[in-house]
Amino acid sequence: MILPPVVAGVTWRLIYNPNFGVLNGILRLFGLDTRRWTWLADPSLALPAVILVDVWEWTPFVFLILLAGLQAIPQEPYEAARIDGANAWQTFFHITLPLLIPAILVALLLRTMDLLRIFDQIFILTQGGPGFATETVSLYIYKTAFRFYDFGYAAVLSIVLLAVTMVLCRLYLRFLKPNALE
Amino acid sequence: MRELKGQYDSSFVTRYSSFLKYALLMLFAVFFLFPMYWLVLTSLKTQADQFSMPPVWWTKRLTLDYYRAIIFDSSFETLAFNSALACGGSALLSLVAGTMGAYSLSRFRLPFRLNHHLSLWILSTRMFPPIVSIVPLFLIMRALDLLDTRLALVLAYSVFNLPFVVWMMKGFFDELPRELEESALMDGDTHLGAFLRIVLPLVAPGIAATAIFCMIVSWNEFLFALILTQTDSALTLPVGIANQVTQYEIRWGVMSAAGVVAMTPMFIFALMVQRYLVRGLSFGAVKG
Repeated sequence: MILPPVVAGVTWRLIYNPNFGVLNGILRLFGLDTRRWTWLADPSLALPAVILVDVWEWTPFVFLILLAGLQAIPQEPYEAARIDGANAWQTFFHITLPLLIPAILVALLLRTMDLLRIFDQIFILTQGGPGFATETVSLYIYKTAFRFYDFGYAAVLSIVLLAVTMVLCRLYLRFLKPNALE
Repeated sequence: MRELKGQYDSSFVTRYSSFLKYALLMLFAVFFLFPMYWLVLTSLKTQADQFSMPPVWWTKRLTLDYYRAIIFDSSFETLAFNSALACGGSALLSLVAGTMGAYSLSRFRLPFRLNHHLSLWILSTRMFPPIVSIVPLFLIMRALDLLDTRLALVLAYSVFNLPFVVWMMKGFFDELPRELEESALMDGDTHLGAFLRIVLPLVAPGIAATAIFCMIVSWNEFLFALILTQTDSALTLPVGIANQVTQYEIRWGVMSAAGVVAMTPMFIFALMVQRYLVRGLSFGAVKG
């Protein structure tokens, strides 16, 4: 989480490298023919590969938010459930999960907003390529402004992205309890 | 009936499922830790080992050549210095302004429910995609003739550090009992005096944590640095590394060594603010 995104990008380029990357090295241990899998250079594999990097980098963060949520759940409902004879699954689905929903929503909100603007890792990993396989809105805006020098169009794109972000944000906040964010 | 079932569980099924549980946990741990191990190992490997296939999982032939190369590279030093200056400068600037802003937001009631609206406005900057501000930011910096200067970075980073400081510090001030200042005011101190002498020392750990978060974010920041800087006079470390990676795919040893150097201070910082980690990263949304 506190890892510079650029360093995460470098690390995973190292792992995904088709010729000497460690991922293909591991797959070879299982006797797979890895010559076809070029990961970041393959239009159909590049996007899943980039997604995996983000999952790797941010799962610990979601874990910490959910952990904080779990620790805030009081013990009494569990005692009541045990007395009523609920098994582990029932306890989880009827007590833990409903009480954890605010924390899940906070995690979802933060991750959605982060992913709407994802830029750094993809810039390092693929620069949006091959073709447009991994191009995100942020990369498109960046390229419009600083590769093609069309500032006007980039500004329009920015405003649309901002509007989408605000609508999504409001939707999430409506589901959150009024004070869950404070 | 139920007790019987419990006894049955504890003999065979539990042992089996706990083995499965640990196997699964191990798998997750490997997935999350292995990339870091690999980066560090690559930075220490000889070039032949880096490019070998199947990969060299572990080797005794370690070398510090790549670290030596970047330490004696004056360009790397300049970049690291730029990064440090930009993140230190903006942390200082936003802390001075933000702490005072947060205090007034926490203690004084403004008309027209402005407290509520201002707070929400500040919080909304966490949701704000930075990319939407690059066009105006670039044009403003160009008009001010600040492109490719470290001052531009300090100012740009303060833009997103300031609301963060206000929000974090507001949380710390809200937790502080009001009576402390009230007694100081009763004794004839001014508001500013009470703030400086009573409140600030009490929230010192919060200030330190907030400062460290500001520095982590600015040190890692990439987008603004990418558009605002071009030459050694202001390039930051992440942009320098990115330029190398996307242009010459070959110098893996130097790149991974630079990556390790760039992330080490952040890990130390993170250890220092462990207690506030969730709070800081979620913009104060979770007070774990």
